[in-house]
Amino acid sequence: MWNIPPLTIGLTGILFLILAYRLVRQRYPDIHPFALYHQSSIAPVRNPEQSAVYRSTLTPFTYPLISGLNIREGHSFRDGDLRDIWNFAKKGKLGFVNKKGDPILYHDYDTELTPLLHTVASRFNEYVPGIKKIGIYLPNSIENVVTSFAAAHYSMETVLLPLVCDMSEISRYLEISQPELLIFEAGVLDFTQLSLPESIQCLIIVVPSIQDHLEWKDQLDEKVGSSISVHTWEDVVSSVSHPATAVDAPEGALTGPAIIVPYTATNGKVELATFSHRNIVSAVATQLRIVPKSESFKSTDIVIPLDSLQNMYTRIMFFSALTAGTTVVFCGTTSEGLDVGALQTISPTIMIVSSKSLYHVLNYTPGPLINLRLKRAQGILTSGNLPWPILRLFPKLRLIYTHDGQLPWQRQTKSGRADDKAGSLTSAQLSLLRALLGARVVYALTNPRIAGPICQTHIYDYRNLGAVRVFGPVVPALEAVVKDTEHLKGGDRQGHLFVRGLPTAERGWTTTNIVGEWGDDGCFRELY
Amino acid sequence: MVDLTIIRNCYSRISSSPSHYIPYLNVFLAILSVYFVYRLIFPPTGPNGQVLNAQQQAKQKPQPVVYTKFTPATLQPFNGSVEERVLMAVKGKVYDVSAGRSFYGPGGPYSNFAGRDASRGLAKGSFDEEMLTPIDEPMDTLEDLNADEIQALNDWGQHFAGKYLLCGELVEQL
Repeated sequence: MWNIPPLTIGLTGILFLILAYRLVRQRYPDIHPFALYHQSSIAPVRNPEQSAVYRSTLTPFTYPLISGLNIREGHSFRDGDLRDIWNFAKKGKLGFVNKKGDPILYHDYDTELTPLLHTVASRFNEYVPGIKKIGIYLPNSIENVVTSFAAAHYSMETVLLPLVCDMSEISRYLEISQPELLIFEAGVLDFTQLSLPESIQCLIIVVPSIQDHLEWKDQLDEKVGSSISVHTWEDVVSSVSHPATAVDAPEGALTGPAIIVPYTATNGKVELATFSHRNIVSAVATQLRIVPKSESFKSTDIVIPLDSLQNMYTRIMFFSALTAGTTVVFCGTTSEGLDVGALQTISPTIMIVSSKSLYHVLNYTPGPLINLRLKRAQGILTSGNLPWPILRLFPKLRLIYTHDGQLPWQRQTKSGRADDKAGSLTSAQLSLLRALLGARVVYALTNPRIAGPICQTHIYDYRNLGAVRVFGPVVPALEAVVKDTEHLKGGDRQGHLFVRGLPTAERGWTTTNIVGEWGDDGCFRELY
Repeated sequence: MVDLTIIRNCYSRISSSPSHYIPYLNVFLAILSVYFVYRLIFPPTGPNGQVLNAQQQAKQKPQPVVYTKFTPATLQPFNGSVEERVLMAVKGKVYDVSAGRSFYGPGGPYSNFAGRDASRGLAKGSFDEEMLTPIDEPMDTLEDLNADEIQALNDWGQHFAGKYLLCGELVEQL
């Protein structure tokens, strides 16, 4: 009769077991591929010499672009301003790690930070009566956060000076922005080379506690002359409980400028981008809406901004994290490396980091086991799921917000070499990052004239499109077109990127100096 | 008596025949198992059918049309028979009424309006040929319409703006 050998029966059994396991463990992709290939809502009509208007699928045509936080007040909704962000932040915690290995030091919003903020504003008003503009040149510190929110509460403008080391560049930024008060960390500004504009009436030095003995204030007094008063942060906060003179906080909606960012434009000229509360709030609201609720900032999250807060993108992401009531932890360093050891004690779940820092992760040491695991991870990513992390650097990390931290004029000088070390991340590199860290990566295209990102990767888009710089669709607060340039003509998808919407500093179509094209999938690709 | 040996031989050949193939079958099963295990550990890195399908669909998306300035002469071919698209001008605005082909296309009740300035006809509520300004004459200024007719025309304008795609404008000369 049919006597089937046990080996055959066994093999058949194994085969069925494998197939059954596949069936049981089958995972659906995080998002349907169709959605990944239709990421933009495209206008059916376009003007000659430019592309159709592209929008996010969250805010298609006939829907309003995102304008604000939609805070309910009675029966109406309002957009909100920075003071509302501060109020939302009170649900969460703000922590600082002063130096490597230290435990996180949490500051309480109600008993510590909010009184501090009012004191700071009163003190500034005392030093410079009727103060309107405050220049900030600080690392990510409590002083930075408190000063900027103090300014927002008392309708002063904050000038965010980029943390560059070139004193002549800082001088140019100060000259064009004309702040009345400058707050900076001791020892970072060289006053023999720095020329202060005439508007400056007061300097505030933030002296780290270990440098108290260095007498920074006396040294400065000699250098700057008698027309400028010099104070230390200690002087400012010495009477937290009872400020000397109280200034009136403005009521109602804040319409004036809030944050001013000086930057060097394409032609080498120094320009100013002035962001109002509305600009900022629309960008923040966008970040809270663009990512599905399950992936967005949550109150259980620990967010670490690793990039400098002086950068508008990082600041908007920081504000978004505050608004969602997360725990934000600053770990002092804003250097370009990634100090893994210092970060592991914090065990972040969300990181806001510049693309340059992520190169540190890409410089992993390959080995046979890692290569095999990478192969597996790439397969899982292709099927639309997130793999386990290969490098267990941050075990709880689930989301990385990163951006192209360069100014467009720096980018244009590089002749389209996508694999350039100093350039931005390519799709292949982003895919590798996802595999190595086991976290979702959202890569944003930024411009100094626009608060927050212009375009950013869809959170579930794990596609590896090779050595091209692919950013996702335009954010739901903006609409975008590309217009023909001298070299790119005729094509209805390639050209110079222009955007319009509330996060732009100026009204109307804003030029970005970025040349790129729209893909079939509705994602923006940078060309050079 | 029927000789059963032939049948028996036949039967024994069939019954014993799997044993010849068993080793091959084992090898086949083993290879298949190894392949499935391999695929379980290393999922394919190439795009799957669903992705290819989505890519294909993305490529076939309709291209945006260019907003164009038409003169009465260049608009005329867009009547659904010369050109595929059916266009129609109302109050100087050109709408793509291809979606309403059964009305405005060839053979439809309003086919007179296709590729023409329909303003006067819509205002007067008439679909006749005489409502249309001949192609070689200057564009209709619509100055002689009375208040009711202007009202009717404005309503039609809103109807078209809400329903059809505005894809250009009608001008006297380019």
